[in-house]
Amino acid sequence: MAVSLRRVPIGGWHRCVHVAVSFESAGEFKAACLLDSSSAIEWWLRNDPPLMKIPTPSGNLEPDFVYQLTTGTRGALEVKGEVFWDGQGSVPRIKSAAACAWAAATNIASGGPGWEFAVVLEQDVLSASTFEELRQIAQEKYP
Amino acid sequence: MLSLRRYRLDAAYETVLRIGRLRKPQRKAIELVHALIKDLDRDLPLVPQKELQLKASEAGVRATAGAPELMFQLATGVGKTRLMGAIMAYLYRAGQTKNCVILAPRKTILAKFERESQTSSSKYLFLDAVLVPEPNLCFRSTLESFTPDPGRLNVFILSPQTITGSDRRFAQGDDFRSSTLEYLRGRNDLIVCIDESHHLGRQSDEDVAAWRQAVRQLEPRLQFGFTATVPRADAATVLYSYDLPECLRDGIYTKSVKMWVEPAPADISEDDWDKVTLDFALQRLETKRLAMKDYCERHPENPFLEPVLLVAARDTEHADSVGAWLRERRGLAQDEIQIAHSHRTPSEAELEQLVAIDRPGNRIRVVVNVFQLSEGWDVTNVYVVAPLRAMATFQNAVQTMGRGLRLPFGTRVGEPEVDTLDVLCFGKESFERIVELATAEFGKAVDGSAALAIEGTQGALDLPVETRPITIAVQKNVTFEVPKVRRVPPEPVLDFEVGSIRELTRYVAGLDLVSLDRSSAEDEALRYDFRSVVRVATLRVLSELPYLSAAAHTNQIEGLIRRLLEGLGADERADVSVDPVKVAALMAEEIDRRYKSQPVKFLVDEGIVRIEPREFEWPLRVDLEGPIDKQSVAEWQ
Repeated sequence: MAVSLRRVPIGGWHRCVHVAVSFESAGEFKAACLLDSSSAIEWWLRNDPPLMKIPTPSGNLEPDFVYQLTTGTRGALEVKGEVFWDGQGSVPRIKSAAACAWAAATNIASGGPGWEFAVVLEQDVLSASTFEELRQIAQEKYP
Repeated sequence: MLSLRRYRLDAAYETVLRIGRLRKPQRKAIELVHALIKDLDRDLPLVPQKELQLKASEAGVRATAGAPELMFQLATGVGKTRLMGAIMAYLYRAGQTKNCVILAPRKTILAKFERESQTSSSKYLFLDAVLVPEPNLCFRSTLESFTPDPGRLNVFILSPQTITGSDRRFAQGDDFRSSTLEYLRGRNDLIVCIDESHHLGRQSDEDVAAWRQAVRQLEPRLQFGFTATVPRADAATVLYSYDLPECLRDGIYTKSVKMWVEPAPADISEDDWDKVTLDFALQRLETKRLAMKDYCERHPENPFLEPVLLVAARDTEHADSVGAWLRERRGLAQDEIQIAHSHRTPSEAELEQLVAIDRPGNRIRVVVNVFQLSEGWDVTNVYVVAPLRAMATFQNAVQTMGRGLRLPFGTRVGEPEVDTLDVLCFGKESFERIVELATAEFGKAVDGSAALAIEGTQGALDLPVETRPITIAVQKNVTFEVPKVRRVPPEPVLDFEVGSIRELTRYVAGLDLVSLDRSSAEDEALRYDFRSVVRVATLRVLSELPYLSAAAHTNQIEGLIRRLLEGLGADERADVSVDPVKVAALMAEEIDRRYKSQPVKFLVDEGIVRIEPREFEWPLRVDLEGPIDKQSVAEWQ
């Protein structure tokens, strides 16, 4: 019987804040690989255990990844399984819309390079070949 | 005279059948009661005890010393309470009784009877106010102030403990009135109904003797017992039986049952096997959740109910550790797990909380208990049952499955996962042994398939391995700052056009609004006063949504509910047959969806939050020396 990699620490990263991190799904692992291999990324953090929480009307959103671009802009990335990405008015959509508004507000607050946010579907992560491509096909993003 | 009596009995029987909308097993049971009463040559108050005993024994029931004891065995979920109400309503309408005692062994069940004996209850005990318009009710709390009314059905809802003499208020009168005991003993038409009557057979001999004696001292004319499990000693008093095997074979009134079997390997620790079992149970629960979600989206008349996993743990300590593991290792939130502590009996407060889990909006997903949850916990959304360790035997699994048999929408809906209860049997018994036991106990369904489906897990298990904690160090020292922002709560939208929402209309129309056709559906809808529906639904909406206030929003919500009902053809001057609780759940959902879908505004506060990632501890499989290198992961598994 194949042993699952779920929540097993995986190391060997170049841009990751920690020496090893673990994942819940193939989409999360692939997203980490894309972040790690992008020259636009200064560093990335697997937000588990969660350090960063974004307040939304449906409870906090704890993004799967936090990263900083070489430009100084910071970002939060959420990977969502297709089955959880429901129609308008569903909790995941409310949360991601709120996270975009949060990113916009923090940009005003910081004055300098601010925050960006994106939610991507697991299937899209698996078919993307670069982080930049991934952001292009995000379901919801700011800016 | 004889024909007049028969006419009266037949008329009462037919009225109860017509208005009561009883299920087939309930109809058969009441038919037997009707036949027995009809067979007497006089009405119950006038017939000699000997004749009663003779007729009961002719009906196949063993004769007892006092009043004939007639037992009904109905599988959980088929409707014992409704049958009890139907029998009392029939005897009352047929002129056989005006005095009924209901005995129930637990406070929670008593409270349920007390609630449901009110004509305003959506599950009115006597089926419909047309049958028993206004019963005169006596509860434990009103024993001293209760006044019998010879013109109405007097109903005494009490516990066996109350009548055995532990409650002085029952047996002692005062200068101005006789005691309840004296009153009841003086009736020649007294009926006693005992709910969950197998308790009489399970108690110690002393208790049984005391309870039986206490019932006998009331000198009833007839005694009815209602249970899902008849103790062997009482088998001879069963007048009608529709047990679990028959119920599962018919496949109509309860969920079907699928038993998942996986014998524990010899070389695995109990702790690790618990984790395997729980992971599989959570996997099944997720499947149920998705199926339920999908079904409810396609059928908006049925609001989504969170499926629940019921775990049976060995003892309180075990239950606590299971709860902690689910929280820490499987990410369940504190309010998603309920632990019913018990080497003692669960407290009434805990039961109150537990009985609420099948209401829309429930967040509890897992209930961990120590085999204490039994009668009185008749929720409909238990979908997976997982007895752990020594409890994981076929017999225990069968015993526990009763808690998950009820159907959330009243009938099967045609979606296999929504119609099926999954019971895990991950113990020591082999697959073959369990198939053998299941076939012996449950036999085959009418179509020849097994009444109880047995499945192996076929390698679907996520076997755990032992872990040790390791420290995950920081390799890039970074700090990042997040400006402080504050979310500005928006104003709720309370002026939307209800009639224009197609789903909403379909949802409420599905509730048989204003329809007086009582034979079209098997639901238990009752007619309510229009204004009561508006008032009750408004109050529920206000209490469910924390951002609404009674002072600011009552009028607008009342307006919404009023327009919704009127838009569907209801008239303020007529009663409506719609459940205000469902109307409120729907309206709250609509308001909440609009509220939360409004653009979110954040205000920038002074200051920043500085986040500095640090090293942390993480469990690593003991067969690994350290983290896996990402280069070696060719494919995610």
